[in-house]
Amino acid sequence: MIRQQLRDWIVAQGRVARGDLEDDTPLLEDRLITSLQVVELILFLEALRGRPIDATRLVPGCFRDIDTIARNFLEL
Amino acid sequence: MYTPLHGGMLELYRRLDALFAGWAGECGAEEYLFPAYLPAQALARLNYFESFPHLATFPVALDSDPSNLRQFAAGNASLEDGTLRLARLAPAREVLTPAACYHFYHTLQGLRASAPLHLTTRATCFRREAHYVPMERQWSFSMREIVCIGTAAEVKDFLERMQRKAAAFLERIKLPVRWQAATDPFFDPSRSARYLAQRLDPVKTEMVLNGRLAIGSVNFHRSYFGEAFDLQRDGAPASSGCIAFGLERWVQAVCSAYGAQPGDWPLP
Repeated sequence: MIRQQLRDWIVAQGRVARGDLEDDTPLLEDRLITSLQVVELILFLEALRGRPIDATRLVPGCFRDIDTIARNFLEL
Repeated sequence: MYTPLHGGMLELYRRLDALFAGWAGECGAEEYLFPAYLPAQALARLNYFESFPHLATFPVALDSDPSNLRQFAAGNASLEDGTLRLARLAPAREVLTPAACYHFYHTLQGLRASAPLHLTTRATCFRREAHYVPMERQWSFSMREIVCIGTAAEVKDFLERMQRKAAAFLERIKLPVRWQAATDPFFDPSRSARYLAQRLDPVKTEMVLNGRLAIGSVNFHRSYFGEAFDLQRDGAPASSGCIAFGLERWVQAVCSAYGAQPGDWPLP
């Protein structure tokens, strides 16, 4: 399941334990994903959904949490 | 090129700085005075040289080898085009302060705090500008900062209080300032992950005068400096945030609105 793969990727970044990661846990705000990992997240999401993401059109809050990412990028 | 402050303008500079330092005092902030430079290694921890190479300014000295010094002395008797012919340089290990608050994170490295810390300093800061505009775009300028290091909630609360205080003051003196979300001036932003991250998760709000010039800003760093410099609050990486005032720009703003006569300034 695609959402589980996203959850696994976030845990693999090493900044949150699996048990502490909810679908509404703020990712950037709580620095579970650092600024340097944002680009890798975009690449990962592109691979997951099989389509590119135009980084110039991203808006504040679009990577807020797993729910928001799923809604914005993974519901095909 | 530079413009010295003197007379009424210098008095205005001091009164504005005293006002902001007074706000720092109300939070119980401890005042620090730092030298003009800090170690390049400290800024390297923040990826500063990747993010802002176009702003960085360095104090450099000549390699002290006598023949090197003689060569320099002989080659610079008169500078007709104003440009020094530098001989061999000693290794550069320092950077001239680009933002006042960096000194705190470096100085407090390894901090283990059990309560929020409030700090303030005024520093001469250096950022290379493409062109010079007196009081607005200067290679060297003064920045007063008030900083909080604590939990995310403590820092957010501090920043909200400071922003309310600054907004109320701006309203009272009727300066045409709007608060706008902003990003730091990254080099090559289209290739900068940190620029992208700041765009997606805005952490900087500027006081923008007349729709064009930032005279100050409120910045929430989250735990970025806490992690980079091992600052902890109750066992977890500390968050930090600051409010910063560009003093020359404030002088210019008040003078533009009220003139150069001290009796006309709406200041305490």
